[in-house]
Amino acid sequence: MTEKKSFRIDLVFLKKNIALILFLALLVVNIFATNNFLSWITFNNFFKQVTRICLVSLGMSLVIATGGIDISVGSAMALGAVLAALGIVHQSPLLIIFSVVLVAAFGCLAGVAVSRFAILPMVVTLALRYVMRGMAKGVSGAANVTYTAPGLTSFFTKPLFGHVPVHFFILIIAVAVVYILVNKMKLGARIEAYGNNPVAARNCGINTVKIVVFCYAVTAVLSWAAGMLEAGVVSSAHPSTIGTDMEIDAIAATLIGGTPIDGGYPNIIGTTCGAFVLQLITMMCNMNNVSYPVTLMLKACIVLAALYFHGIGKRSR
Amino acid sequence: MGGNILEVHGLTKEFAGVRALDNIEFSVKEGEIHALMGENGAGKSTLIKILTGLYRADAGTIIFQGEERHFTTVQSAQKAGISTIYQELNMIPYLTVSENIFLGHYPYNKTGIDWKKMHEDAQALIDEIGIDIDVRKPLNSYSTAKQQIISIIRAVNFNSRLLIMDEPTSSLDTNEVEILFGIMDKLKGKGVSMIFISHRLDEVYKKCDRITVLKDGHYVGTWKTEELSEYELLKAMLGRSEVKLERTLPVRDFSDKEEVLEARHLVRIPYVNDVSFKIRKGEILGLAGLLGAGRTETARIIFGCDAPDSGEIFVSGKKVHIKSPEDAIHAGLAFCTENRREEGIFPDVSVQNNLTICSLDQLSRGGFINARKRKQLSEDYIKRLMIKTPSGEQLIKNLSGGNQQKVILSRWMAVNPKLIILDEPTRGIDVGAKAEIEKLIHEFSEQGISILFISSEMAELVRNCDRILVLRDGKVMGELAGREISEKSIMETIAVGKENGR
Repeated sequence: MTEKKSFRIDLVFLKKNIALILFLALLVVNIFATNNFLSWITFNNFFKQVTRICLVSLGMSLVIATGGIDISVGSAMALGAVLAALGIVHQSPLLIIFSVVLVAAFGCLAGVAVSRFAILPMVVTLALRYVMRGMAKGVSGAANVTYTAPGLTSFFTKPLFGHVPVHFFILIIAVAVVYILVNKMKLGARIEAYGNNPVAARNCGINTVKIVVFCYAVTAVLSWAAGMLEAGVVSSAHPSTIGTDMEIDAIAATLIGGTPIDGGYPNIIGTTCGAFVLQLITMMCNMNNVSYPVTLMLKACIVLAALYFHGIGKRSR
Repeated sequence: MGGNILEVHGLTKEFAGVRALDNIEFSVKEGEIHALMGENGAGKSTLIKILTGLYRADAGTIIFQGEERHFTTVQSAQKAGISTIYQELNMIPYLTVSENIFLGHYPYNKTGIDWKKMHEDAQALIDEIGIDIDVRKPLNSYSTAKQQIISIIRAVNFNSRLLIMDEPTSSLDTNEVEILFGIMDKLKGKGVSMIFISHRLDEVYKKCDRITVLKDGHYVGTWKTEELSEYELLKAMLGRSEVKLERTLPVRDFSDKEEVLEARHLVRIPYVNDVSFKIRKGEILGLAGLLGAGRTETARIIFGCDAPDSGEIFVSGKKVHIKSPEDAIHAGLAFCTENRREEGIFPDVSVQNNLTICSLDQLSRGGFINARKRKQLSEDYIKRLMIKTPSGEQLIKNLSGGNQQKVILSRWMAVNPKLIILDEPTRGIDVGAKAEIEKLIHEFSEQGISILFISSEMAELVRNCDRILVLRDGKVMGELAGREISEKSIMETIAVGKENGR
């Protein structure tokens, strides 16, 4: 074993796990550098914030794995949350169900447009971004929809077992389900294959339209769920603030996590760590009174650093 | 006809140690249409790229119009009078016809581009040829053929003395080809020389004065067209006189076996023109023909990659409607594609997952993959086909070409197909792996799997096939079976098409 060889192995290891390593490093730094970091309050805040980013990022990973991109996720959150909030206000379970069905339908539409009619994913979802945000504003009269539902609100706000927010469990379940889907199921194997080589996938008898539609639909439903989380904590849904810039965070988390931007294996654990990293930076800056512009720049540096490592991996092969 | 407009002596070009061109001799006379012939890898495109300034030769001289020239850019070649008309047109579809003709040298007046003059001049050029084109319309409002003609007009307008036409007819129908030929005649009358590349022998014999053949980067010879029979031409292009491979395969009789696949009158204009054949259980049927004969296109129709214009397909006697590869797989077919890298492998996916991607249905229950079974299946095949890989976890792109091909073969074997289509299964594979793959093909056949075998290497077809179907220009020229099969008989059948086919 020469020294050179072991160094190369290190690079591959780094590339595969850069998101996890970054997360652990940030964790350690914070434990020592940030006052009151190791507390249930921090834990609570962290998961309340990170879960919605993570949900959307999971979907985004699937879409990016197919070589696509979905920039309509924030609007999907807003439309879902506003409709559901209206459903609660009018005590109409049907409307709540409709909110998820409608958002999912838009996801399917995006998938069909991309795979069947070969329209660029960026274009399709750009259109849907406007459509869904517009609908959210339309149905709510562009005003905050506030509801009173003490049971629901306490579900989102009251920690379980005294300390653990419900978000934590939602996150664990979502990550587990998507992880199993990708790594243990037929569909996941086909998504990976399609993302890696769409032409070969078709030649292997894979129904490529089905794969793509599925990924966009799942993303839409996960965005809906993220919208519900955002609305649930404050018992209200504002059509113009919910989910703004969410697509950017989700794409960043996916890329830090190591899912290739031009399609391939969706690295679910990586994406989750990527979302954690983004949230940790935000919290770290908040707790240390770092100004918002600096926070953003710090985020940018971390994203660039992560992408740099993925780049090295590609070149060294 | 005058002297030589172009002379090439001792031209040599290497790419990473491989000689793409080795000591090429070539000349074109003034006002001559000269055919440049050769199969894949013969060096035609390298030669053309050197002539037009895209590549630089390592050795040799190019004498154009009596002067030794070394073109370093496409523009310098164009300025000297050499233009190329590519198969894929390098024009701008949304600009008008006249803009395309004058692209790069628009006429100017005081206020800018002189549109009036440009349109008038362009129309004059078009009218001279005598075709119905309005130069003010965008280029893409005309058919491919007319676009091709416009690109020729543009080239001539550049004052080209030598036109290089790289498969100009490959996407044209019969009438359009005639129009193109008419223009070629007119240009010839004006003393313009042309290098004509086509895989359609008829066209070459109809239009060309002389033929030069290249093979594997070597110069084979130049003949006057009327002095070279089609058979002789094919022999020059394909024949490997130095290696005489005897056919060792015993003659097998399949007449009592079940018919696995029947194709009836498949048509996909312009590539496939009425192809019919039958394959019986365990039989190895070869598809022979030159490039562009419609072999791959026929395979793609059968496997549902492309839709036919007409025709029927029967599997085990039952008519099937195959609309996608998915349907084809369900019908019991498998297709090992020609371009392994682009259409076959999933490069960043493990060997195991590459191997099992088509058999996931039999490996899963309720959507969940049985990881143990999957691993077992992949390890079985890795062992059986002796695939050289450290483990099933290795990414397939790290394997050699031959081993990648074995993974793809395993992938299809694992779905237990009735018939497997192999399109150039040994292309780009070293000799050892090649022999192994040929051996596997016979094992499959012994197991009762029928094989449709496409190869450009005739010796390979002769060695391995029970029966060979010879295609030319998308039509079946003839069928050879058992002892009739030899390189000579295949070439004769392709050549005979001239008398019988029309």
